[in-house]
Amino acid sequence: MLLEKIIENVDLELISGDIQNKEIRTGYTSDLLSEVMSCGNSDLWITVQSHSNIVAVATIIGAKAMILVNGREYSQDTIEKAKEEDICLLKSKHNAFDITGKIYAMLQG
Amino acid sequence: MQCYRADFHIHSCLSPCADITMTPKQVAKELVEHHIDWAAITDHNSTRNLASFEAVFKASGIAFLAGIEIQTIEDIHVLGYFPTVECALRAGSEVEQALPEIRIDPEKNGYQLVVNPDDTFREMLLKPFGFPTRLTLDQTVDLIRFHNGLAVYAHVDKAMGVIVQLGLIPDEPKEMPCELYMPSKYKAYAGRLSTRTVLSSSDAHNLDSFSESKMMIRCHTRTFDEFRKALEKEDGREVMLCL
Repeated sequence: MLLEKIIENVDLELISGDIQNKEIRTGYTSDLLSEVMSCGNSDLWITVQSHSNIVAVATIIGAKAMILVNGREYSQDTIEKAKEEDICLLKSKHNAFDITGKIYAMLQG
Repeated sequence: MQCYRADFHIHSCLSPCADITMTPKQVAKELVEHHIDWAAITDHNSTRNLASFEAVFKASGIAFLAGIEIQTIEDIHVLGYFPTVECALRAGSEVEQALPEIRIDPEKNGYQLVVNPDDTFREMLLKPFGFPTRLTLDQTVDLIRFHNGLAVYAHVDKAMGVIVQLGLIPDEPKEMPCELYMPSKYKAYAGRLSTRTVLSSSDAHNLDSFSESKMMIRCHTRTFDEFRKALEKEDGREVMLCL
């Protein structure tokens, strides 16, 4: 499913990055970055962590986009690094359970 | 230059996860028995027991280093060391402001006791000292440095260490020293630690967890300034792990 379609249907705010032509097939939800690094490849990552290390970890797992939940904010440093790596940054005021559930249902449907 | 046996990560009866027997005289007795001659108290998010421990350690011939273990919003544990108890108290008071606005139940979460130098308890605190603060990693390091302190990543080889929480040690702050809980694991971590200064301490939460020191500090005297210079490897001073 295209990222554009997910954004149309789930309450997400685009912070930076290009949403065009990003195919999302898999996702992962976790805040422990060492665990995320060992999860294998994932197109989308949902987390509350906003430290700029999330960009390095997203690169390792091949994430095309990430969603920061619970109304947390990205630092400018994180936004700049994500632009360099072509990773789309999104955020939501909802919690990880709700966002994960909605997107999971869309991918399964 | 001298080599001092040091333990710079010890919890007192103020830490909710520590035993209530971690009182100044009891801890000093263990340190003397294990030939430690320089020690820090590093309670979770609090500095309120430092003055009592400083008095007793000094009387026992153990040089005292004022410390704290701050929990960041990412739940990374960061050790802060300060030139004086006064500096540490000011930093500690700011850390307390950043704790969640809840009260703990000592029966469930553990007792948090302010202690006098004679080992009697003065006050039981109900702030959630064992919880992460609202401070980001960067804000935590800035807070420690603003109060003239030194920041060290706690137990990078364990849960709540920076590597577990953030996957890798961030580039910034540059060259921040790291503590290894198991000095024997140094080889496994050497690549990630690179040129950083590495420390190792007991992280004692009860009287049974003291051992012979895990590190030696080579420097001139047992002062904060000499410790800082050892971290920076200045003029032959250094921190040496006991492997």
